[in-house]
Amino acid sequence: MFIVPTAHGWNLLRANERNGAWNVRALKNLDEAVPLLHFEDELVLGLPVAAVLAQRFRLPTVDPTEFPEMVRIQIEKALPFSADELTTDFEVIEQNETDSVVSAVAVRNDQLAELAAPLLNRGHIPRQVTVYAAQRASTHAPEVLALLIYPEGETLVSAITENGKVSLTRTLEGVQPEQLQTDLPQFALSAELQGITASFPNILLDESCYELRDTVQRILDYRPELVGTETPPASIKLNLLPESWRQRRSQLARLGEWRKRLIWAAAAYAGILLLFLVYLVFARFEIARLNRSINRETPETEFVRAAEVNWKALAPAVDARYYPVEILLHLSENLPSSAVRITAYNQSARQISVDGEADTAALAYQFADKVKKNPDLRVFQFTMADPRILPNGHAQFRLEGRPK
Amino acid sequence: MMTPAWYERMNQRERILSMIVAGVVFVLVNLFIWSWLLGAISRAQADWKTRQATRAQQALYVKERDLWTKRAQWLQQHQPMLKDASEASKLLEEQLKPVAAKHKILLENPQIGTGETTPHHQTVFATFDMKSEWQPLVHFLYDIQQPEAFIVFENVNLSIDSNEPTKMRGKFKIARWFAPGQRPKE
Repeated sequence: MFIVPTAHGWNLLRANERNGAWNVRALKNLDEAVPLLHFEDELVLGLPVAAVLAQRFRLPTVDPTEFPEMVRIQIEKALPFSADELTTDFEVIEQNETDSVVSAVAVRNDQLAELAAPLLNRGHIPRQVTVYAAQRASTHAPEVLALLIYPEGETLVSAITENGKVSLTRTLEGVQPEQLQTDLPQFALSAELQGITASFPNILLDESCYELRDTVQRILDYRPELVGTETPPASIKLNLLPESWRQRRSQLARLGEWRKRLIWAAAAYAGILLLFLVYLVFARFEIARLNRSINRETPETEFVRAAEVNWKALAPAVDARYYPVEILLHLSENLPSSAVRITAYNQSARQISVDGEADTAALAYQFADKVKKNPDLRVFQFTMADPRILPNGHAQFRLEGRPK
Repeated sequence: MMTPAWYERMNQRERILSMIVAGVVFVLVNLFIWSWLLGAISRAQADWKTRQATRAQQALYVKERDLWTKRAQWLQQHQPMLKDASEASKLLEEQLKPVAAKHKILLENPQIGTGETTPHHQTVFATFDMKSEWQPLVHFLYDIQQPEAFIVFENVNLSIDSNEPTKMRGKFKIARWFAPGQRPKE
């Protein structure tokens, strides 16, 4: 996404996600851009010529590592501002075997902050701050010397670009032919003094200044080429993003990442909570459904339940499995051998106990085990404590049975 | 993304404190929510299990309805009614003594009485001691107790006679369970 200066204020260019075409939205000021921006937008802000200071330097080196320091010294010499007050960047225009020509561009941090305040105040920090003239030059004249003339705000600006890099800029005094007759030759003279060839075979005139085409041709001897709004402007290296903005942008990006993670975590947490709630509602619903079924069936089953309770209460009288003679029969059937003897038998209406003596403890356990597994005695739950070993080595045991 | 103005106004110490407070509040609120939710789920699961068991039992009852109807009818028809207080002596004289005599078993210290009354039966009983060989005792036990007689051995203590190891010594409390004054609802 790009925001670039225009005659009426600013243009916001955004790629259409569906067909890739670029939508151009005219804005009076940057405040109008704020509602149209999203936090995840990668914004490139193109600065007007009036906001920047462009200088062309010839540096006596071809070593790229030496450029930054040399450019910094040159800028400090050329401009009446300290390095802390400016953000600068440069691009190499051309090089020969011994020296290099660079385009250095500077912007005052306070002026930039004031200009971009509507964006910054809402947390929209551009990915790149560059110069619109450089974007236009890279689009229309990337490898030649060109003179750009186009309106920014209520004024007309001109910029000389070499190989798509801005060498010199000037805000023209007016748009009347007489004024241009004065300003353009002066601008060409300034370019000459900077070491730039003052002959401009490539003159790019904004299409909104169509009526100046003949005037410019008369002054500069070459017919201007009309250029429209770039959709999109070319990507260029020049970046005047202040370090504080860069840090703030990284910080906001990190915050954004954390916010996303938090939102995901919160959503997952809420999802789990919701699942538990849904399960609870489902369980309650099932309980209510079962309750309705139980209540519907209760009158029908109440008689059966009462009959069962009555029958079980009378079981010692009517169920032969509780009769002493039956129990004694099954107990005697389960004696492993004559080495296990029953010495006493006690029974109440609901409980039995069998005392006995076995030649060994193992036989006592064998007897208990058989009794527990006997299907005819399954109405009882048998338990046996550890047998007591008598002086003669025999095991005295007690087997107790309770109805299940 | 913007950080709120009120947050921006706070210094580092205030931010840490506010985060601690927010964290504690968040934890407490969530503890309350989860405690309630898990408690409610636990109770619901227990209720659900109980209802399912009840429903399964009802299904079984419906399936076995014919069986229990027949049993209830059988009890209705065969459980004797307690007419008067002489039932206890009748139990001893007409049911126990004749069978004992038949198997040559001597009943010692016989006593009679009226036992507990429950919603399911009214009881009269007879207690006695006896001494007998094993074979006659088994026949005595067999003859005494039949389903239609509604006779219950409420207490049986059998042991080998220490003086005569071939004989058994026993103490019995034998009851007859009569139908309750008002039969349980069926």
